[in-house]
Amino acid sequence: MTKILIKNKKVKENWKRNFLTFFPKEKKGLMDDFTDLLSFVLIISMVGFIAVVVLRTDASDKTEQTLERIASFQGQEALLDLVNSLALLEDKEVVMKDVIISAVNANNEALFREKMQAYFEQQQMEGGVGVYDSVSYGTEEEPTPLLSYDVVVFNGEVIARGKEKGAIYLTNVHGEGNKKLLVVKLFS
Amino acid sequence: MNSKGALFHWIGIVVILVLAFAIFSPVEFGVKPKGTWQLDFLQYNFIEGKKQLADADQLALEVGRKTVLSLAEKGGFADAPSCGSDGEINYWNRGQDFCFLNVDESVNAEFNSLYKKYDKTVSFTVSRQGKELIGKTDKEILLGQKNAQFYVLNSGFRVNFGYDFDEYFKLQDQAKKMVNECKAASNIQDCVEKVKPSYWKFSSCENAQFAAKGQKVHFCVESPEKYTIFENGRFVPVQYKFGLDFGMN
Repeated sequence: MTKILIKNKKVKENWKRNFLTFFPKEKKGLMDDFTDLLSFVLIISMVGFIAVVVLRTDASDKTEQTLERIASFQGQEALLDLVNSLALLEDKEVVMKDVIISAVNANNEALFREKMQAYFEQQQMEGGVGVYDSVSYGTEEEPTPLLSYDVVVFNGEVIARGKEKGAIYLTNVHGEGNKKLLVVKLFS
Repeated sequence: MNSKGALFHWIGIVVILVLAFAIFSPVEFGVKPKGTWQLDFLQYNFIEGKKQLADADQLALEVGRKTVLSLAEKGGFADAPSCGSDGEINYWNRGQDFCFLNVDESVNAEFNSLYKKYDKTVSFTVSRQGKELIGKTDKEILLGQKNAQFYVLNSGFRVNFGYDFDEYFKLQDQAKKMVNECKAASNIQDCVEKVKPSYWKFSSCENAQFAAKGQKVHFCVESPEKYTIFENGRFVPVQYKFGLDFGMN
């Protein structure tokens, strides 16, 4: 386009004049403009740098969030596998949900621990599992479990209970009061 | 200031304004998490659905177990049969006419009747396949209703409780044979003692004692396959209770 325009002699001269006046003849003005240009380039560079750093950090944070969510699914799948797994009682097969519900109703912590230990060892899992009544689970900040099992214990005391991996509600048809609905939680 | 130099100042101001807009505007700039929709779908629908199904299956399993024990107590009839009953004991025959058990119908009726105690809003069409019980229903569970998206889950079930209802047919064949052989016997007790399998007991499975009301005898029959049902932390043996009429009419 420019080439077409400057074919016209008059236009060509105008363009040359305009281009030259872009750079002022006075040195003071030249320095001012140069400083402005330098500042501008500096600002743009800084903004660009900050934007890249922020975006990279943001991207890294978001990727971490996504990975955490994916990991939480694995935890919830592990919980589902646990409650749906088969367990032996009196040499007969039942599902782990039966064991959990029976242990709660009979307040049989030994049975619960024995079956959980067998499962955790078989699956080479770490962490723990807790069973709560749904009322205290829903209302208390740190509810006391009806039954619990933890792999990481020292002198009978749980050193630190890990992060919650998942929770599931189970209807207890034989339960009474608060125990009619149970919550099973798996910890890392 | 030189008017040409002012251009750069204006550009700087514009950049600052754009940055201010980016910071204060409600529009989110930056990197968005990957797979948000997919992860939301998995969390609020797929995983949640699996959790609800795990609970629903357990409830169905428990009710199925209760159905087995309850039906066995009533000789396999969900309702009083046309052959009559004596208290809680249902008769399988009246003279030579047998009230044929419709096991599928009985299982369906008894299961739904027991399930109503836990959820009155749902009704299942229950069928059996070997040792499995299958329940189908029109009721749908609505999950993860977020904006216009929602996930519908069919609340049917398929549970294995290690018991086969076909055992009733075996017992009914044995009952027919016994009635045929002992209908004309002068001493019903002696005759039945000779022909009945060992797992057939008179009146009670724990304390067998012959007692007849006219020609009608009550039985408690232990499961031929020695089935037990897990009920509230213990294995309960399946015991069928019913009566047979050895009369000629």
